[in-house]
Amino acid sequence: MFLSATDSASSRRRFLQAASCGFGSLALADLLQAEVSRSSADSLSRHSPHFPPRAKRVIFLNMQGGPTAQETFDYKPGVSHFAFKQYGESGQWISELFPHLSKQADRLCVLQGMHTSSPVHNAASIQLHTGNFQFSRPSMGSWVLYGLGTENDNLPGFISLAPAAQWGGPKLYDSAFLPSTYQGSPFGSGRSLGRESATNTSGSPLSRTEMRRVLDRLQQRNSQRLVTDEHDPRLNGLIQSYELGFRMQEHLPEVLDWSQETAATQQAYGIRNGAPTENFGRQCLVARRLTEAGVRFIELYHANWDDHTDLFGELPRHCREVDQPIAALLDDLAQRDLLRDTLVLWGGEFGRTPTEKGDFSVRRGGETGHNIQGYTMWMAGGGTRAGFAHGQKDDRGLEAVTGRVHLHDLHATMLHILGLDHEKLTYRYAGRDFRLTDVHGKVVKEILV
Amino acid sequence: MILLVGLGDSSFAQGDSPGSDTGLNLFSERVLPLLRKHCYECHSHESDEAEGGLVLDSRAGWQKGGTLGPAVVPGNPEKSLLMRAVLYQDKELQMPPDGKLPADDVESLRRWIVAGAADPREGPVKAPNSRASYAVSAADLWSLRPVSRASVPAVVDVSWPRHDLDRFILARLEKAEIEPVSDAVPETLLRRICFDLTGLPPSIDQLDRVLKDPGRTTLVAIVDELIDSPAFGERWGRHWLDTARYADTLGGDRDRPMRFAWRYRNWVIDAINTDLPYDRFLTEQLAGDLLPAENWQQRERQLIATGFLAVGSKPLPRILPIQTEQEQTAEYEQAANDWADDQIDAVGRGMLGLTVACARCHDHKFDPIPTRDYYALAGIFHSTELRFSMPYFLIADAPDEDYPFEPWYYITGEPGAVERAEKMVLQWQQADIDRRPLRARLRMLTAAINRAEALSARNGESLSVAERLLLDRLPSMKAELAEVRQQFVDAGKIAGPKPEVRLAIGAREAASVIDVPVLLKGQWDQKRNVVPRGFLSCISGPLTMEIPLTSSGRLELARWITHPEHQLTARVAVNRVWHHLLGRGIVESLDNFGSTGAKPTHPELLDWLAHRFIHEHNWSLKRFVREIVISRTYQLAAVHSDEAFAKDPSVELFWRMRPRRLEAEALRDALLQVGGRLTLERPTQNPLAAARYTNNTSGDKEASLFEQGNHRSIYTPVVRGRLTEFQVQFDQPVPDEVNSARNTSTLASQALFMMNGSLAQSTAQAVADRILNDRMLVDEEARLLRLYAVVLARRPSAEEGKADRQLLASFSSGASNPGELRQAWSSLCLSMLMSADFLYRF
Repeated sequence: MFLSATDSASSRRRFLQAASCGFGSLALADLLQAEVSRSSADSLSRHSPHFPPRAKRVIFLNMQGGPTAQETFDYKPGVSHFAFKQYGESGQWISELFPHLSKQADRLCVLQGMHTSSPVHNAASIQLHTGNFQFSRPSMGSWVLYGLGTENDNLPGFISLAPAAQWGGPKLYDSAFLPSTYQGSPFGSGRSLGRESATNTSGSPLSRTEMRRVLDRLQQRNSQRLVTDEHDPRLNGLIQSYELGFRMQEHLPEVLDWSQETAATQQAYGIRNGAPTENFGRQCLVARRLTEAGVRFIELYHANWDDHTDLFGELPRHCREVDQPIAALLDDLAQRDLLRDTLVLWGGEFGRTPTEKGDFSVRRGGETGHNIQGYTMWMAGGGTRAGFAHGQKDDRGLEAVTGRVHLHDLHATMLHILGLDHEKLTYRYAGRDFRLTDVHGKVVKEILV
Repeated sequence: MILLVGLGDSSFAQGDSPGSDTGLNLFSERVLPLLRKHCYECHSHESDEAEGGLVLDSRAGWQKGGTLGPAVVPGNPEKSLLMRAVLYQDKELQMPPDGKLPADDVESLRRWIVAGAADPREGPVKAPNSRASYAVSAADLWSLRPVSRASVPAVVDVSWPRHDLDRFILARLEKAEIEPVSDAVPETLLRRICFDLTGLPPSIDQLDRVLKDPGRTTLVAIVDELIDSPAFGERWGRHWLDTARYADTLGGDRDRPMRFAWRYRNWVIDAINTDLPYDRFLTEQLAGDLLPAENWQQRERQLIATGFLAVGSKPLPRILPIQTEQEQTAEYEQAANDWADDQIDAVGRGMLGLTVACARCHDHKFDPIPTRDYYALAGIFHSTELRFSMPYFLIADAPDEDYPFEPWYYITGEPGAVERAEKMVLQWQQADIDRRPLRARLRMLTAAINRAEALSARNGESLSVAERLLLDRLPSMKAELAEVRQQFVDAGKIAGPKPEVRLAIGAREAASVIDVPVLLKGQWDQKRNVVPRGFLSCISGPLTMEIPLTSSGRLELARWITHPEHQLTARVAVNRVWHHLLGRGIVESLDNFGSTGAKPTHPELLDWLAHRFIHEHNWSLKRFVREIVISRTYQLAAVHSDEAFAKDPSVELFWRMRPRRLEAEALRDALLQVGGRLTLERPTQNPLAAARYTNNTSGDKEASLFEQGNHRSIYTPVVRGRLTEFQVQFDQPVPDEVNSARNTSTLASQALFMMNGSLAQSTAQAVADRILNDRMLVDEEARLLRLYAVVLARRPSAEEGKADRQLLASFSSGASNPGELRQAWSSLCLSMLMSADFLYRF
């Protein structure tokens, strides 16, 4: 089911042949020969995973700021302020703040025993993405793309929708020392996402044919350079980037253009002018379109869950903004038979400490802090155990006591679901083999079907 | 306390004899369990950091003791530091730190000591602060060995080297049987030196000179011109700003503007253009405020230089009225610790190439840097006050800013802060507040000396640890007093009229100079032993330097770092220069010379260069850069060689030049320059004020405000949380930390930026207009020649000319339609701007 590494080499060969029309003097045969023998370590082509995968791609719903567990997906009698009920056949407890998502309780695999290392937003957020907050490390999306390659030659393989500038900013989709082809591509902002977010895909006074002519001349120049310097992977990457860019001109605006969806679909995602669900609804709908298009790693950003005070005011607002869109996304993926091989992951960089019951309504008294000892994330699809809750916190929701899952374990598990062994997915840099999980990480087998 | 000690003397003086069975029983039944329970966490071979160098898990451990001497004097509880500690007799030495032992346990310890402190435990004593678990010791880590004075190696092909440094390269190549490639052609070399020395493409005039006389003399003459041009400082200043984590905002959650950071940026550029020797360059950044000045202009420059310490990314304490006092304390202390940490990292990796900041929470896992060294440095920065927002530094001249005052209370929660700041400006104009820190030091010293002299009268009877330390320092304090008196007099003699007020970011001495405690696992409330301010213990040699009692120690830190015998400073500096010119450092990890960093590919060359940098060039960056640029190694072509590649695919041995994608700044400057649109003058306005940026500024396009005016990109403000599209696209890092080497990404979004983006497009059109409107260019041939000269700084080959004419022809049917012609030429130009030939320097 996976193509060999020479696939992109052969498509490049085809391109070079195409680009070389009227360009007879170049020793093209030699060039192509060199191409065949070149290693494809930096190539975006599809690679075989280490073992049969459960999922082919990831959608990460990043709830930045640290959502509270005990008011959302972890019912703690005497601690939770909002009403919880059991839903579905599984009987998962879900808060009244998620009226839509609760109908999909049987699709969720809830990780109640999450814990992490840093209580600081910036550091924790960077660690959530890279496994490490002290040094610059590749983002998990870059690792996944590095491990599996791309499925769509017309789009980047790692896309971040509406990333925030704060709490890590570009570091959250940076490829660090991995080759730059694995870097995430950011599109859109919290306020706008759509066709217009495909920046620089238009604007040239040249027609498509004219631009192709300019590119052909350009690629002749670059190929010429490749003759004298055939082993520079960046030259190779540069040539590829223009071809991908050229194709993206057409495909990126298309795929980002959620307005092509039917009114009913838009309605389902909550995309209505001025509705609280409008912005995240757009992100979720675009995520589904990217999923269909075969993008390997898609991250959606929603901020800001850093609700220190006034949870009765703020928290319901955040939940309302994401509840319907996420429910619609899960439904839509399932209907299109995409949920089966798509891993959906929900959560933030940490959770929140509980307040005493009653404190909550008092704006100046009921404060919650950052909780790194126990918080909640959930998964759906991708061969995870649906309608299942793994692990437990103590009675107050302060600390994970059973089924403890550290971020490193989450990373290891995510890679495992994608058919990648987190100990084998390494990249040699500055004399050392690096991993997403560094020297840590244990696959949480209990949550897999 | 006296009662307890007296008790010991009277009732148990004739207890068990040393080492007797009773003593042993007491030890195994009472003492060992309590040591295990209360002390081992910090005082054993298992603990991350043996606090104060003391271990209590072997007999030898307490016999030798830690930094304060033996912990137990058998038979004499009064003289045993262990007893003083558990009795909480001294404020500075209270163990366990989280609360006194139960009286029972204290009594057991005392009886055990009185009984002769029998202890059967064999086992090694741990030398203070050294751990068996360091990956390497100071002696084993190559970068901590003294810089050797390597002799220039012999080579077989004596005709190849142009310079001694070439011999080091060639000797290795000959040994590996690799033949270096040929020299670069003159045009390529010209473009290389222009970008490397100034970050700008060659001018038509420079190209003409090289084409007319491609000899070495012309190139060397151009090298000298470039090094003397203001653009040199803008290029090499930018390299240092990467290391110095320069930005115009604070970063973090709130990313507030640091409105005057740009003065520091300009200082860096000017310092490099005036070739301020590198040792002085570092010294002013660490301690410019503590250096004497001959006139007010110099004083101002030196104050601005300390912006290095203040310019890092840092969290602000989040103070809310609803917080308890303890929560607020936590906020302040955590912020202060983070600020110190940022400075330690900037000095550690930025100046020394060591990840010192890793030792914040535990002894460094890989390098010989114990936690106490980290906190010795932390004391220096906790004794330093940063000024990065209100109230800013006060320097010379009238405020030229839109918003000289920011709501200081926003940060501190203190109302009335603005009024106070305004009062400070008035004070500056009216009095010599500049000498205030010195006056404070005089007061502190006099008081301390008086106290010490009173103590000496007590003839050493029952002095606390702190008192003993103070007494020991009496002679040095007296010397310090004399010195500070002199400084006070000198500071009053700064020449010239006092200038008007100006504002800057920077550092100065804190109101109180303090040593700080080790924080267990880096946590603000887990305070352990106080560590005297100091430097890294792994740097040995003639570098001992005492930090005065009443100053932070920044000046001594600067002297220590810039000492000619320091193992790291010059090595790190020359390695960066090598990286910026040759595309890869001799040590690939520019900011990490520790055991997790890369090893040098040419250790002898590195040392030879470091030695020359100090002793031949007197730390002159310009002379050092020139030396490398005129070498043969630097002038090699950037071409492939099958044979050499087979033996050394990653070009560690420098058999060829590495191509480099132009950095974000160089690329934008080059685009503007070839279009004839670059403003070379430095912007005079505060760029953040000009852009009307506040931390509440929003809108996706606001960053583009910063690029108005087409100034060189080094003058574009760097907003940590919101880099400009160009900065992001072309890998300018978010400067949250020291980062001397740039990434080079190759992304489709960059391709799109060049294909459709307005900067590339308008540049192509501007170039086309320049070509088509030039009446001297009479035909297509002349225009093509000029196009190549302007954009690629070379001549086209015959094949290129042919392909270009085909492209032109495909766009325009004839010369009659100016619109078509313009489209044709700008399209041709675009195909050049997008190419590796333009985007890279070869």
